[in-house]
Amino acid sequence: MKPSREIGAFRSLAPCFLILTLSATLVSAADTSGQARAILAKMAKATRANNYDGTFVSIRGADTASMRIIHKADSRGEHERLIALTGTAKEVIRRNDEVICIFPNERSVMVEKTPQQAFFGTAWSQPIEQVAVLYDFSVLGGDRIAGRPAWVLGIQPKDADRYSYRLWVDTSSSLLLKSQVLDGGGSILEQLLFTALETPAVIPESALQASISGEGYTWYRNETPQASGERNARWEVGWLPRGFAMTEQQMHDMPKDKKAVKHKVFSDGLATVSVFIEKNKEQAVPVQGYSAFGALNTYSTLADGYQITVVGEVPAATVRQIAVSVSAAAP
Amino acid sequence: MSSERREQISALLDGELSEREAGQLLIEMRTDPDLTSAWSRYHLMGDALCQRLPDTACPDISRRVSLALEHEPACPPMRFRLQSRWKPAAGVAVAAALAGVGFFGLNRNQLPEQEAQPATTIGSVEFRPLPIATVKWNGQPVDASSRLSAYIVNHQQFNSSPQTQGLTPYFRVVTHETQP
Amino acid sequence: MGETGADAQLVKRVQKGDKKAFDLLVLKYQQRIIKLVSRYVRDPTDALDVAQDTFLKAYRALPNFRGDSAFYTWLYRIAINTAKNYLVTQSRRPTESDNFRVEGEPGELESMLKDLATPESLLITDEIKETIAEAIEQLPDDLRTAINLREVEGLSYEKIADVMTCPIGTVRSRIFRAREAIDHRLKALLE
Repeated sequence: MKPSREIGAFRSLAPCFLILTLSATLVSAADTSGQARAILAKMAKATRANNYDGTFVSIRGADTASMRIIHKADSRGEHERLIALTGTAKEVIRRNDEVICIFPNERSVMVEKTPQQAFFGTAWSQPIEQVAVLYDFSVLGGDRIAGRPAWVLGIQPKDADRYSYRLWVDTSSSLLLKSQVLDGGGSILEQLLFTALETPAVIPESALQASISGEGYTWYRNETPQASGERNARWEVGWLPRGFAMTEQQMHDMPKDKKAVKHKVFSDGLATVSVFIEKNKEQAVPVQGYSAFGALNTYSTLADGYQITVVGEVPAATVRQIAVSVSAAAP
Repeated sequence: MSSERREQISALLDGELSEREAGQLLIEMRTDPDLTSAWSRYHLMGDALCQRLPDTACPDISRRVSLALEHEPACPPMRFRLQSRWKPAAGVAVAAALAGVGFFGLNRNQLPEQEAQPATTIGSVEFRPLPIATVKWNGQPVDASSRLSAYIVNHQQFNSSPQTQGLTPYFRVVTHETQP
Repeated sequence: MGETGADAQLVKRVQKGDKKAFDLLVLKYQQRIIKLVSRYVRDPTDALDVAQDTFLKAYRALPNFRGDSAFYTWLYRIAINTAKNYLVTQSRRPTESDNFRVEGEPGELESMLKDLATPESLLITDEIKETIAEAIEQLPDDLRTAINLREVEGLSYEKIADVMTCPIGTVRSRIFRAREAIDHRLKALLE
């Protein structure tokens, strides 16, 4: 269809908007964006492909915990062991997609096969250019963490609907040394910090053996997948921040009453938001309003006798706005 | 543009073209913009006849939509992938729990009734169905709290934040404690 | 089959990864969606943005569309939600647009928007309607009846064949010839 006069007028507006937005973003660190993204891609690769042995602290809300990670990569793939240094001596042993978790206090062992995807998320598997539409990537400077020189990278969202990130990446090994999740005001919501990190050429198998034999423990294993019950897409999420697309949809049974819960997952490549929809039982206490822990926010509301809960590493206002936009689809 | 093709477009628009013919035609429409614009104008006629046109003008937004869609991946065959994909059992699978919940723990007192489900044996080890993961959670009623916990555990397995690009998401299993 | 049959074919193709098939759905429904959205969103440029957004959302959500409802019913719902959300966002962020005006060239944007609502541009829809009405007026009786039964009454080719006591193939050809005749004038208007 050839543009009419009307369309012509609409089109003539476009360049003017473009100039307004461009002038605002051009100045801000466009020059280091490519460099920052290259470092991040190297980091994601090094995390899987290198040998390392380190100790780090994790701070989330009021919780602080420390742990050691030993990671080995060879022709057989990845082998990894995590040991809690604070609290109870939990351990996780992972060999490629097989995961064993040991909980000494409960004298329990859990075994699970997990899709490879779950380890490294979906973020860098999709072109980072897509993410760059929503976030500004930049190299903020240099720093020293755990005695190692590091690049400091900034990932700043272009709107207020999501959080920003700051990452410290080892200049020599490309491994993550420190990371922060920050809100719009620059407050740190979550933090991860290596206090020591080594990259040995050889890691002996013995270092990756669990310290507990598991004898006399109760072993738990994931059940075979069950077919999802309800298939109808009866619910619609009316509003999502720009760039969010659905990456997954599942049906779960809630542990207590085996009620079916619809679970939709949306991601912009970095931040992830889940929408849960579940019929509210009359005797059940409905969840309503906000909750938060670290960078994680939730908002719950009731709609047509259904419990809608949105959970995500995005600001409280964002989870709320998504939650209230959920509605039953037209029949 | 042959008149035969345009007649097929006219039939397709009325839903009167066979699946096979439609498939052929749609492939041709990909490469022939004249066919696509005929499709567009035929619809414009229908809209005009049924009073479905906007009040003032009829702008064509198809180009900007298609430009915006350039950045979108081709529609993933979600349903097929879903079925083959691993799903958490009992709402809270190990991997789900492990893939990143920050305050995961086991509380034996809260093991669910469904523990009565049959345990399976592999080798000399007896496996049981999964217990509930508990999450420390303040500010909500108790029932709501356990509900939220399950939601959060299920959410965490999909975490794709930059932090999890640089460290196995399983670290969260080991780092945080459940408080009594 | 009818209209929903054509949609189902296109939707299935998009779900299999054929993006181009989605363009055809956009071309088909854009006028209806713009009209619908304009009931909520007064500003014409914003209305187009919301309409565009509706299609983007529909595309993203399409993997979940299972065909339980007609595609248009589903799209309609998304359009309404998108428009309502737009209104909510607008009312939430009044200061932003104020800032925008201060930073940009004052008044320039507004005058451009006003231009869009001049009486001249009001002609467009009317022009199209008039042209089509005239073209239909001049059609031979059998073609005019066929196109009206199809477009206005929504009858299938089979029903039209019953009504007009002719083979289905003839119905298909009459409807096509009617469209061709109207298109002849419409094309001239648009070019």
